[in-house]
Amino acid sequence: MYLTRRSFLWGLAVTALGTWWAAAQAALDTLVRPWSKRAFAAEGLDEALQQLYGAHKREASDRIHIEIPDVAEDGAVVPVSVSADLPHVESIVLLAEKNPAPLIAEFILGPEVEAYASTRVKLNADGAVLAVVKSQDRYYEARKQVKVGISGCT
Amino acid sequence: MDDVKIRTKIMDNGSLLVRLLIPHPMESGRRKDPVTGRTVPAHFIQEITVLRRDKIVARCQCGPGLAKEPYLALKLLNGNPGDKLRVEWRDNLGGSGSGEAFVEPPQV
Repeated sequence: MYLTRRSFLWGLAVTALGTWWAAAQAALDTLVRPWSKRAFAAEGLDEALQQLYGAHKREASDRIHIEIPDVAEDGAVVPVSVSADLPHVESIVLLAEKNPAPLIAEFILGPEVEAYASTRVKLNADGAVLAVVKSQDRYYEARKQVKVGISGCT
Repeated sequence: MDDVKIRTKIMDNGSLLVRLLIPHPMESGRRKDPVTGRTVPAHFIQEITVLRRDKIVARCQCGPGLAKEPYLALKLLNGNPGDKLRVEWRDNLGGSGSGEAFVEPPQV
């Protein structure tokens, strides 16, 4: 079997394509994960965190910024923004301590997205709102206390 | 169904602010109808996907803790005028929707 110039170049092209495909697929797979019924149905903050992180440790971090009113008059619509000064943030998770189902949302951020997410949430009662940020395979957490006027989980 | 409203803005640092609004009741399954007194069945969005130039850039998995008519804002690196953005959502009852927009040039 001769290694002709043509077959050599074809070999190179196929290898390059394969490498690119594997990398692209890996990036996509981290974004595609089934919706976790267990985590979203978990009642109580500890159970929700257990479902999400299991034995993984979470470090308190002042590099996560939660922007949310100190007093939310209407718990049905509470604006919240989270940003993080952390490298390669892969996800931002929002939880409300006193909600019947504490896990609110998980934002899975690809490499083209900044460490930022903003939305509007329901809050059931006075308590902490948590943001857990995954950065370089480590988990960081911040909490902010919010007082709720009218419960948003009726 | 084409129902997602998308607003884009190229910011001073070149990043792209993407804001989106989805019409959806986000029923938790715990609320009682004030008229009939019956529990309103759970009906909420579970997943929102954001694509730029047909490539997934971010995904949001959510429960009924998001307020109704969900609003989401993200910041994408490198905003280019004319880039196509697409948002898709699906809910717990098999419903789905989407929307598309093209990145607007920065306001002078």
